[in-house]
Amino acid sequence: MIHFLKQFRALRSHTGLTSAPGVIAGRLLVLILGLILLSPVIFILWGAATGSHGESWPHVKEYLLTPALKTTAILLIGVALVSLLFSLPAAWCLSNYQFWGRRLFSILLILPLAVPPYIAAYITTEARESAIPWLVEIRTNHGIDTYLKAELYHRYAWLIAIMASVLYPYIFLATRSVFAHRSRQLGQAAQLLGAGRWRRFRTIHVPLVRPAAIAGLFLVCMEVLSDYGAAKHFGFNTVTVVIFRTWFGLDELETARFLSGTILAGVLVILILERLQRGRARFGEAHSSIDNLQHTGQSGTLLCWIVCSLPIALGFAYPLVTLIQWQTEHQQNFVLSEYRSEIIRTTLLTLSVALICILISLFFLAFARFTKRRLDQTLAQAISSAGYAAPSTVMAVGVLGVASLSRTFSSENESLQSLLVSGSLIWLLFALTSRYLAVSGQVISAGFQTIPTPLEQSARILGRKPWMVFLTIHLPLLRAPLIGATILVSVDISKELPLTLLLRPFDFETLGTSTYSLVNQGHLFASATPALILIGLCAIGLIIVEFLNRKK
Amino acid sequence: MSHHLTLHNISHRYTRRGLPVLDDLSLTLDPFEILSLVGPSGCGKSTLLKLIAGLERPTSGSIRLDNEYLTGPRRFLPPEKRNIGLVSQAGDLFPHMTVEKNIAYGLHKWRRASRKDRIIELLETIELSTLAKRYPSELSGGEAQRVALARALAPRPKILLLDEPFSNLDDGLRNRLRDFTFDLLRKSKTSALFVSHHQDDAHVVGDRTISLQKGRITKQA
Repeated sequence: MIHFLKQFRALRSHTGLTSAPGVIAGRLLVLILGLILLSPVIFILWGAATGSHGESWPHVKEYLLTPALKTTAILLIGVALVSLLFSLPAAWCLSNYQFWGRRLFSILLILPLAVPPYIAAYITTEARESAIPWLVEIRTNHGIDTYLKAELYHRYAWLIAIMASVLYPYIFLATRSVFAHRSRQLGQAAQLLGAGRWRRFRTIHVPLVRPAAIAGLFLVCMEVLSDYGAAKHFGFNTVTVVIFRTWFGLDELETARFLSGTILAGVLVILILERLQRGRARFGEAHSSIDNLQHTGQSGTLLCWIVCSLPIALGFAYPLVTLIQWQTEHQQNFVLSEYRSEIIRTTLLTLSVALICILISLFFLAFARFTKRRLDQTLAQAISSAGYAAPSTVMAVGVLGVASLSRTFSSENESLQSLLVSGSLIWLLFALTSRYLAVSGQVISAGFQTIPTPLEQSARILGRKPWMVFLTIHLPLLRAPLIGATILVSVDISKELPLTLLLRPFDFETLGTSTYSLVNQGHLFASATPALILIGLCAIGLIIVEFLNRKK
Repeated sequence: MSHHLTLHNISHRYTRRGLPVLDDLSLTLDPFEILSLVGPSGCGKSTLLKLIAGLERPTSGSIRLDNEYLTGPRRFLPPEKRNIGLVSQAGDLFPHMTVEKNIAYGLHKWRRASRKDRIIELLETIELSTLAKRYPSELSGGEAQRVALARALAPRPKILLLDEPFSNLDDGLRNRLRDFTFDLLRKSKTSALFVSHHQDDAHVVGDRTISLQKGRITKQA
C-alpha cells in the first residue's frame, strides 16, 4: 500500500498535465485492452514454451517441418532480393530525376499492392503451362532427375518473381521519402565536399536508406510468411501450408499450436533485431521538392521508363490483362449483381474492422501523447504492433485457442456461450483487429507526429480540458491520416486470405474467399469476376490514399 | 483587476539526475507590472514560463497567484484552470481554424453575444478586422503574432506570459509590434512577464528587468 502511494505520488510529479487518477485508469484500460488483443499471441507463445505438442509431432517434424522450413527460407530470401531490385531503382529514379510521366509512374508503382499474392499466382497458370514442351524435352534428353530439378526451379522462379512483383511497393513506399528528401540534399552536400559517386553511394545513400528499406523488407517477409493461397497453388509446402495441414489434415490443434509458437518466436526475434538496427534513426519527412530534380536526356528517360515500368507491368498490368482476358473469353458477361452479397460482406467486414482498429489506435496514441511518459508510449506501441508479428495462420490458431478457452470459462452462461461459438463473426473480427491494428497505429502515429505539442499546450492554457483538446485540436488535424488508415486497413483485410478462410462463419463468402473457392473447385476462369472486383476496389482505395498524401 | 504572482524557492530538473534548469528561484510580479526576464538561451527562461502556465510541474517550490496556490506541496492546478495567457515565439495558431475561431477558442464559457463582441473588439484592437475569415497559413509573420496576442488576451487572463514573441520578426517590425503590445498591456492593465534574449528589448519596455543565468537570478534592476 505504501509502495502504491509512493508510485502514485511519483506519477503525479511526473505527469503534471493530467490528473493522477485519470492516468492510472487510462493505463489500466491500456493494459486490459492490450491483454485482450494479445491473448492469441500469448496463448501460442505459452504453448511453445510449455512444450506440449500432439502425438504426431515427431512425424510432422521429420517429414513436413524440415522441408517446409527450407522451402520457406528459399522463398523469403528470393522474394526479398527481387522486391529490392524492383523497388529501390524505381524509388531512386522518381526522387532524383525529372522525366516525362514521372507523376503517373509514382501512382502506378503503388498499384500492384491492390493485387493479392494468391490471385497473382493463379493468373500465371497459363504462362507456366506454355513451358511444358520445354520440360518434356528436358525429360527425354536428360533423364527424370534433371527434369524434376528443372521443374522445381521453374516453379520457384515464377513464384518468387510474381510475389515480389506485388509486394515490392512496401519497400518502395518506405524508401521513396528518404530518397526524395534527405538522401538527395545530403548527397549534394557530400558532392561539394569532394566525395565521388561511389563514395556518396556508400557513405550517404546506403546508410540513410537502410532503416527504411529494412522496415519495408520486414513487411514483405511477413506477407510471404502469411501467404497460403499462392504457395499452395504452386504446390509448395511452406510453413503456413504445413500448419494448415496439421490442423485440417491431422486435426491436431496441439501440434499446430506448437508449430505456430516456433514461427512466432522466430518472427519476434527478427522484429526486435529490426528495431535495434533502426536504433535512433528516424525517417525524414517527405517534403519532395521538385525544384532541384535533375532533368534527364533521352537515354536517361528511356532508362527511367524501363526501371519504373517493369515492376508495374509484372505486378499490375499482367494480372489485370490476364483477368480481363479470362473474363471476356470464358465468361458470358460481367455480372456485378451476382457478387452483390460478397461485395457487401467484404465492405462491411473491412470497414468495421478498420473502425475498431482506428478507435483503439486513437485511444492508445492519445493516451500516450497526454501522459508524455516514455513507458506509456512504448507500451502502446508494443501492444499495437505485436499482433502484426503473427502471420495470419499463426494468428488463426491463437484465436481458435482463445475461443475454446473462453468457452470453458463461460460454460454456465448459455447466451454468452452461444455468442462465443468458434464459427461466429466475433472471432473473425477479433483476429483481424489484433492483426491489423499495427497498420492503423502506424498511420495515425505518423499523423500525431506532425501536430506540434505547443498547439495542445496553447489549447490547455486557453482553458480546455485534455479530452476537449483532443476533440477540437487533434481530431480535426488528423482527418487525412484517419481516412488513410481506414482505407489501408480495409485494403489489407480484403486481400487477406488465411484468417478469413479459417475463421469465417459457415457460408460467409467475401470476394477473397470466393475467388479462392472457385480456383479450388477447378473453376479457374470463373474466378476472374470476383478477383477483378477485388483488385478494382483496392486500387481505387490506394489511389485515394496517394492523393491524400500529396495534398499534405 | 490587480493580480499578484509569487514564486517561492522554485527548482526544476527534467531528469531525475540531471542538472537543475532552475535553481532555488524566487520572484514576485506586482499588480500592473511588466517584468522583463533576460538571459542567454538555455538559462531556463522558457521553463520558468511553462511552470507558471502549468505545462510542467516544478521539482520543488511553490507558485501562488494572489492567495491561491497554483503549485504547491500538495496542489497542482492544471493549466486550463489557471487563467494565465501565453504568447510563444511561434505563435502556435491552430492551423485548421480561422483567425476568428482561433481568438474565440478560449471563450468557450462566455455567452454567445458577449463572445461575439469580444472578438470584434479584439480584431479592431489588433487592426485585423478584415482578416477575420483567413486561415493562419494565409497570414504574414507579424499578423500571425498579433492574432496570437489577441487569442491569449481574449479570456482576460490574470497574467500574460510572453515567450520571445517577436524574435522571429525583422527589426523594424519587431520594434513596432513590441510597442503596440506593451501599450495594449498597459491600457488593459494586465500584468505580464516578458522573456527575451535581447537586452535592449527588455530595457525599453519593462518596468523592471531581471537577468537569469544558469537557472539563477543574477541581477535585478
